[in-house]
Amino acid sequence: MKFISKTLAEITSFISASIYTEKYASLNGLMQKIDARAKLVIVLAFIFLAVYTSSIWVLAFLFTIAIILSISSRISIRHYMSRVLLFIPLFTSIVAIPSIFSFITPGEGIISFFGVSITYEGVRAALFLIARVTAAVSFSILLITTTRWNELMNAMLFFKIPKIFVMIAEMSYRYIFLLLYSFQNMMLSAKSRAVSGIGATKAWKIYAPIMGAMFIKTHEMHEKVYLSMLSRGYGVEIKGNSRKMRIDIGSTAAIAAAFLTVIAVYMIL
Amino acid sequence: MNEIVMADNISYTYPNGTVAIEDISLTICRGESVAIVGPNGGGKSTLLLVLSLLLPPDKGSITFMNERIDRKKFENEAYMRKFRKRIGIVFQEPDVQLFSSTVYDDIAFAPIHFGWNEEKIKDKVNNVMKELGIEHIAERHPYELSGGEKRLATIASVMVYSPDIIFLDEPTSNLDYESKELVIKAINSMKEKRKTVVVATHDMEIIPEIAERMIVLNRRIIKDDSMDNISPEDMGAVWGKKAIKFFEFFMEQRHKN
Amino acid sequence: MHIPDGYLGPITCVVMFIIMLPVWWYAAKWAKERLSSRAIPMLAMLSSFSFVVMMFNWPVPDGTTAHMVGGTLIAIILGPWAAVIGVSVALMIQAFFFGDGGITAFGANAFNMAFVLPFAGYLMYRALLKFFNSDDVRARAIAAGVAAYIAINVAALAAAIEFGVQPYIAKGYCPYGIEVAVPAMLFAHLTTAGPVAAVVTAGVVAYIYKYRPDLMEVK
Ligand SMILES: Nc1ncnc2c1ncn2[C@@H]1O[C@H](COP(=O)(O)OP(=O)(O)OP(=O)(O)O)[C@@H](O)[C@H]1O
Ligand SMILES: [Mg+2]
Repeated sequence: MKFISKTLAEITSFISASIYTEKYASLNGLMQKIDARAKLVIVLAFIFLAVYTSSIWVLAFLFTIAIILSISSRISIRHYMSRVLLFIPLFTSIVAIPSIFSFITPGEGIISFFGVSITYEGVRAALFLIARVTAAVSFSILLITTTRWNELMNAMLFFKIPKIFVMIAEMSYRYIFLLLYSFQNMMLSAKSRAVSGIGATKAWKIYAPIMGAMFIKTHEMHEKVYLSMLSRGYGVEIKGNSRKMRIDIGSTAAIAAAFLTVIAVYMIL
Repeated sequence: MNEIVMADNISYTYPNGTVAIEDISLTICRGESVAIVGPNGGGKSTLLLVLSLLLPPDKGSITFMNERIDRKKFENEAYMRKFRKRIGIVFQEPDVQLFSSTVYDDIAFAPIHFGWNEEKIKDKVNNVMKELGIEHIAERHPYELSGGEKRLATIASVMVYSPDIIFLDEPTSNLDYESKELVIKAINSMKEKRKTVVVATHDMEIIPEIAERMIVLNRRIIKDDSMDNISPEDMGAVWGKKAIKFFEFFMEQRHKN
Repeated sequence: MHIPDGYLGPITCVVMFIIMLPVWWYAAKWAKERLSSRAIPMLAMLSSFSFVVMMFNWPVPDGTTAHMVGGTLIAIILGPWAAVIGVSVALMIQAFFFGDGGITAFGANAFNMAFVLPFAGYLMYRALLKFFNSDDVRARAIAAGVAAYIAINVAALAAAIEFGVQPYIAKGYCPYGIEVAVPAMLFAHLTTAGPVAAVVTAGVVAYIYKYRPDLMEVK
């Protein structure tokens, strides 16, 4: 349980740090100037290229573009790098470890011990996988740090994502905090009640009702959140910062530039 | 006519069977200022939610601005939206009302959803923040605020669209004297603009300053009268003997003013 | 269970999206006609619940990650089509905010966790209640726990098959063949994520059924 309460605190601060970065979305940088719908298209184009390519150079090039774009969008490079690298590439690396060995990827051995060897092909494949994941993630993080959530939601509506999905996304995003905080309080109250060194059944008897109660309490709170949203004009349609439907020239140019880059890179490399 | 909201014999029962309010009939007129008092669990919050057209009463009916709101209208949110911009409600728990990533966004939530243009939104949001003295927290995350700052932010998020009637559920709980003054000032400025103000509160010291009429509620209406006709004994009936003295003192203050 | 970008070849990505399109379309239609407005905050909360529990994940070498999803829970409370919406939304927020689960693999991830999982869980739950021939709290809790356990493993199996076939159909993507991926994923989910899902789902279903049965949209 100690493990859980510690990770919970970490996850909470990680999520709040991530969502808190809407502060970058309101800066006056390059990506922030581009319409959310255009940005979505651009980012998807780059991600598709990252997934489609079989050249490590293309991946390196894409990662460089992402970094340049983030710098010209005034995102702190430290913040950006930690968001991109800390989570997914790290997990992918752990997941990819077995693939460097000869029993997964046979090939030319680099070193061997106890009858297994690390192969050149294996290391290459693992690095390639990690590079691909990193390149793709660097673009989704770029999108989310430079776009306000409600603008992204409006973009989704524009691309005909059904309203109910967008509405639930809108609300669920806002609820994540509340839920994490009630989780945390639950752990605290459980801690204050539980005596140390209890057995699994006893722990279950203590934690299960607390969890159930928390669930219902959180739900009751959410019902009120929903009412408070309704009372302030919330409806099925989500209004952003009243952006026009027309895409401005700058954003059109950005889409064109992005597509030209993608095509050029694909042809050349 | 002058009535803004009328309740005719309404009751509300929560899904778990708790009867929160029963057989309530009352009329609130334009420009009135009403305090709703009563013990914990007396149904104050529930009554505010029902009067602000967020919970449908399961018995009786509500008439808002001369329009009878029946069950069918209640369930049609698109239809109900025309009333939303006329009604404001500040919830008892600030956390349910603050969910954006900055205080500014929370205050701008209603104006954005009512479809105002960007200029106007900026203008009004900044004005209301100034009025409540919370400009310095505009870019902060609501979860990092103190209880009092949260309270002021929620009041701002409703005052910003200047609804005709505003319901405040314990607006001064958690506040220090300075912030309390700000809230009272805000309520009084709404009253000056001929807005209708309904406040549920346990804070006896603010009642004489903000309300002309008082409703004592304990599931049913115990008393509903102008402040001048409320005696300290009425208060004693709700809160016990201690309250009598306390209330006498504040009524004296009121008469002095 | 989140498949990242770069694990699935382009064809698999596209095929999974094509499979999911009618599912999403029908779920939206279902919600419009059948989901009561009272259930909307509940679904949003369950979606954020799913988001949060999926954040507690650990990497599975030879596979992807293991964690509970909450899809069976949503299916039991609000019905499987609501679960399609709730889990898809949670996955989408994760893909955008943390890059957890690739954007190109979104179709596949949604197929496994937002479609296969809740339907497997829901059908199992119904079948078990019928088998127990009782629907008191105890029966519901046990049925919910077992259903959640089985459903998460079915979903993990589906994910393992999807990336396990890559070495045969798309070189340069997932390096693990089926013979490696399936045992790795199943082992992790049978021993860790599965029990967690069973205990949490059983606990929450029992509590809600006992104290707030009105919240169960599916009776
Ligand atoms: N969501 C809910 N579900 C079930 N019962 C509820 C709910 N909210 C309130 N109640 C019950 O309804 C009754 C009235 O509650 P309400 O919150 O309206 O009282 P109140 O006068 O505002 O109390 P307080 O002074 O403590 O704020 C109480 O018995 C309470 O337990
Ligand atoms: Mg109350």
